[in-house]
Amino acid sequence: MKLQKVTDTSWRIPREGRMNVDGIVFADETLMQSIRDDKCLEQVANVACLPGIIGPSIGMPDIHWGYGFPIGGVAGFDLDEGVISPGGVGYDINCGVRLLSTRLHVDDVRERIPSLVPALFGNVPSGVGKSRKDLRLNRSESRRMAERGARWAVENGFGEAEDLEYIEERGCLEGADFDLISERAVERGRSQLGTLGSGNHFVELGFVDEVYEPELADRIGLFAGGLTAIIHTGSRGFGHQICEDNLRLMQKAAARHGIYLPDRQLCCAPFRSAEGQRYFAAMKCGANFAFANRQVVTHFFRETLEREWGLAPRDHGIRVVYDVCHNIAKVETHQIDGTSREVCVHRKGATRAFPAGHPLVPEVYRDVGQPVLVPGDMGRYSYVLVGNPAAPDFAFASSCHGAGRRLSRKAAVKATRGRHIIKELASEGITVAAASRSTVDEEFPHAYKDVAEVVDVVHRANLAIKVVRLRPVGVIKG
Amino acid sequence: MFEFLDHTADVAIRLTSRDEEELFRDAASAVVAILLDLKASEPLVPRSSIPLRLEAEDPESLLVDFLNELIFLFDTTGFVARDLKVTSVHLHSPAHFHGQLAGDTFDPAKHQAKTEIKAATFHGLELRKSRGRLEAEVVFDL
Repeated sequence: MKLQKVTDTSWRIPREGRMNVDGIVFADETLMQSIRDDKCLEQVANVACLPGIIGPSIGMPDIHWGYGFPIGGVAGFDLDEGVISPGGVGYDINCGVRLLSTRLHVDDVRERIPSLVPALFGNVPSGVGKSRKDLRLNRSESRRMAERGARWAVENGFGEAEDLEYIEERGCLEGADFDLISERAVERGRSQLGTLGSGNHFVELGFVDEVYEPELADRIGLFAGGLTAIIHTGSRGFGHQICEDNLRLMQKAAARHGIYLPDRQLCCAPFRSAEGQRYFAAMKCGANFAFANRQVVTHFFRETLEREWGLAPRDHGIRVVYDVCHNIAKVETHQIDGTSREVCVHRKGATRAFPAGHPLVPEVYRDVGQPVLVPGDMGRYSYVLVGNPAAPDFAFASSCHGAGRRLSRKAAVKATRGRHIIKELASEGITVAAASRSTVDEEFPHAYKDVAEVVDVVHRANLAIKVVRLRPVGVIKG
Repeated sequence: MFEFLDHTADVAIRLTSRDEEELFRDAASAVVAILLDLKASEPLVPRSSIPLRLEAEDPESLLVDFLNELIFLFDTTGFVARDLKVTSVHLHSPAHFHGQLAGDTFDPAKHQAKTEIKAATFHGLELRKSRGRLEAEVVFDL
C-alpha cells in the first residue's frame, strides 16, 4: 500500500485495487512513524472500498486500529448510493465529551479538591457493576429517555433547559425509534443511567492553564485559571447492545445487497435500505441515552460541588461549555465540489468541528465556531478548540477526539509494576479516586500518546483552532 | 486454559482447550478474569445455576454469542460464572451450546471489580483444531 506525503500535516493513500476513493490521513512525520506500525492505514484503505463513499476515507492524527473502521476515522456517504455501518460508529454509540466551566479560580479552591474528588466518586457511580438505585427506569420512562435524550433529563429535574443549547444536536437526535431496541439492550441500560463505566471513561476536574486565543476563550466562557470539569462517557450497556444486535443484521444485509467487504467488520447496508434505516433509528436511541447520561452526570456534579463546598449556582456558575459526540453517524449538509449535498457522515473516535457562521453552531457561539473538546490522559493536559473556516471541505468539518493509546494494557501493567500511580499523581497535585487500582495502572498517563502532538497537527492542518489548554487537578475513574 | 495476549486498545485472549466443554469453561473463566481482580476477591461460590441454550450459524458466532451472554448476565444481574456443565455442544455449522452455568453474584463487599467489557468481537476470531487441542483467539472491546 502506497503512502504519499501531501503536506506537512497530511498523507494520501492513493486509490488502488477495490478502493473507490483515496485515503487521507492527517498527521506529521513523527505521528506517522507510529501510525505506520499500526494496521490502521489498511483500515482507512478498506473503508475507501465501501459503496457511495464521498471524497477520501479520512484518518485523524490520533488514528489507531479499531473494529473494521479505524478509531479516528471519518467517512461520508451519499444517502442514495452509500451505506451506513455500525462499525463506523463503534460499540459505544455517542461516546463523547462534555466540558463544564465555572466562575471559580483554581487557586481559590485547590485545597478543597482532595475532599471534592471522593465525594464526586461517591455520587457518580463509576466502575464495574455500579449503579444508582434511585435511577432505575421502567419501560415507558426508558422509551421517553431514548426518544428525547438530554431533554428528558432536564424535564426530570437533571440540569437546566439552558444546558441544551450547548449540546451537539441540543442533546437529542430526532427520529429515534424505541420499538427497534431489543429487550436485552433495555435491560442492560436499565440500571446504568447516570454511571460512568470504566476503562477510559472519567470525570476530570481541571483548570485553564494556557490561553491561545483570549477573545475566543472569553466568548466561550473560559478564563485563565478557571476551574473546569470534563465528563467522558457514552451510552453504556444500552448502546453496546444496540451495536451488537445490529452487527448480525448488517452482516446479512451486506451479503443480501451484494456489498463487497474487505473486512467482515465493515458490515453495512445501503443507507436507504430497511436495515440501514433500522440501524440509524436504533443508533439514535443509543445516542440519546448518552446525551441523557452526560446531562445526569452533570447534575450529580453540580449537586456534589454545591453540597461539599456550600456554594449556590450564582457562586459556582457551573455551565455547559459544550458537549460533543465522538462515535456517531449523522446526516449533515456539506459543500462537495461547490454543491451543497446531504451526507451520512460517520465519525468513530472523531469530533464534529463546525466553523464560525455555521447555522448549527449555538447562536451565542455563531461568530466564534463550535467548541471542540479533546481530552488527553489523566496526568498531562486536554485541549479546547473551535472549528476552523479554512478546513478543507473533504474533511466534513471534523477533528480528532483524544490521544489514543501508546501501550497495550498488558504493557501498561508491566510498566507500572512496583509503582503507585495514584500516589505519584497526588504528588503532582492531581487527586485520583478510582474503582479499580489495576484500571488506573492500565490508564496511567504514559500509556497514552501525547495529545499535544495530535492537537498540534489538527491546528496546523486548519481542521480546528486551539483556544485553551486545561490541566487536571482531580479525576474519578471506573 | 486461557491467556491474555498483547493488544493496544482492548483485551485479547487465546483459549487452548482439551475439548468443547473445556473451551467454554476456559472462555467463561477468561471473561471473569477481565471483569474481576480475582487475586483481590473472595473465592467465587456457585450460588446460582442458569440454563443456557444458544444456537448460531457457525462455531465462531456461537463462541461470540456465548461470551456476550456472559457479559449480558453480568451487566443485568451481576452473575459471575464459576463453572459450567455441557449437556450438548456442536461446533460445526450450524452450531449449538446447551448447558448449565453455575456462578456467584457480584458483591462489591466481597469482589474487587476490574474492567467492564462492552462486547466480544469477531476480530481475528478463529476457532481451530491444532495438535489435538481446540484453540481460539478472541478480542473484547473494553
